[in-house]
Amino acid sequence: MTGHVSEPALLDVLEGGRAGSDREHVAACSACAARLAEAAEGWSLALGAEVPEPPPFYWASLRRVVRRRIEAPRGTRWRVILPLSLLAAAAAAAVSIGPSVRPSIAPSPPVPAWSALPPEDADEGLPVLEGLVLDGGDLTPWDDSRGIGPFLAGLSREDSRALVTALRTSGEGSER
Amino acid sequence: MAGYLSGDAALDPLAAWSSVARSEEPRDARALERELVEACRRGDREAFDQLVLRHQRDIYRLCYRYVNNHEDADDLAQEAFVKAWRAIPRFRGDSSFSTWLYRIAVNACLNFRAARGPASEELPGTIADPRAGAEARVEDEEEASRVREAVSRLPEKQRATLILRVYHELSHEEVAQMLGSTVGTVKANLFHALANLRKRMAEPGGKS
Repeated sequence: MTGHVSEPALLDVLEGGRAGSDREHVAACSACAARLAEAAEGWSLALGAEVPEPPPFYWASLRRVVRRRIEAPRGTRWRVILPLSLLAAAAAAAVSIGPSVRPSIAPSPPVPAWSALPPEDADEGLPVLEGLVLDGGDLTPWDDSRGIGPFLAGLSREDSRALVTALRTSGEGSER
Repeated sequence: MAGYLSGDAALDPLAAWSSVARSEEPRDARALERELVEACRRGDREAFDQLVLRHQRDIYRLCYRYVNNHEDADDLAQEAFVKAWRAIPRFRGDSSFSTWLYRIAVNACLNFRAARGPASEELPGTIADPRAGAEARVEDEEEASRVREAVSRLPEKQRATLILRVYHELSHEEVAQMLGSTVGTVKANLFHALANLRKRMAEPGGKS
């Protein structure tokens, strides 16, 4: 035996497509047989590791985002900036003036006029916003005449999170 | 390309329609794809939507194998499709659309990794090792996760070659074309990738 089988040749043996001489060598050479067995085990390991399935609605969401992006002029940034600031301002205003414009009702246990949003991973509002995104059709530019519903429905997950962050930041400001 | 649409139809009207249409469609799938590509070249976004539908699973999974998490895989899959749309007027049809699309996705993944810096070449040493042994089969998700992690940390070319050949069943020639390499190099890289994967999984903490 003058030399061992090369890696490309061993791979061919592994895939079942190599000439008989290489197969004979591997059968007679413990070193090459061990290398081949190692690669075969690696292949078997690799095949056993499936990619986790994403959430069922993910595929439709992916296509929707791709569609929006290819329909947008190049360079368009989809992070919503102006509407977020408007919404944040509106939310802050609602928090600050809300109690004064509501009729006074019977005394009740003291509750804070405003409470901080929970941490992101415990925020039950996020799935709601994400659900709106999943069910809401294409993202449309902010349009006051259509109200907030269609706008929220069109937010991407990223934009939904940005909105929550903006509201949370606004809330922190009013708490001080 | 394996099994697009499986499981989507009940949840996705477009997938359901497309699934039915295809099951009744006697035309060759490649011919249909060529028609869709031609329509895309004329600016037909609905046709591109159909192409995305056909390839979304494969592209997502390809990206996932590279980055080993959903968020980055999602970003990369989006990026690949958007780049494909923009580049499709220049698609000459020398290769199949799927091979061309894979190349775009692979480049997106490689650029992503380059921008993020090289991944560690070593598996973390803190992975739990609750059981001893050297079984070759992955039997549970915990172990599958470690395999994915090990794959995602293989050297760049080895990882790309393994993903494209083992998981997406591209030929050595297609992989070589995609990576700008030779068939011999692709085979050598794949062999080393498999051996490295096996070694890393056999290391303490690398495999249950």
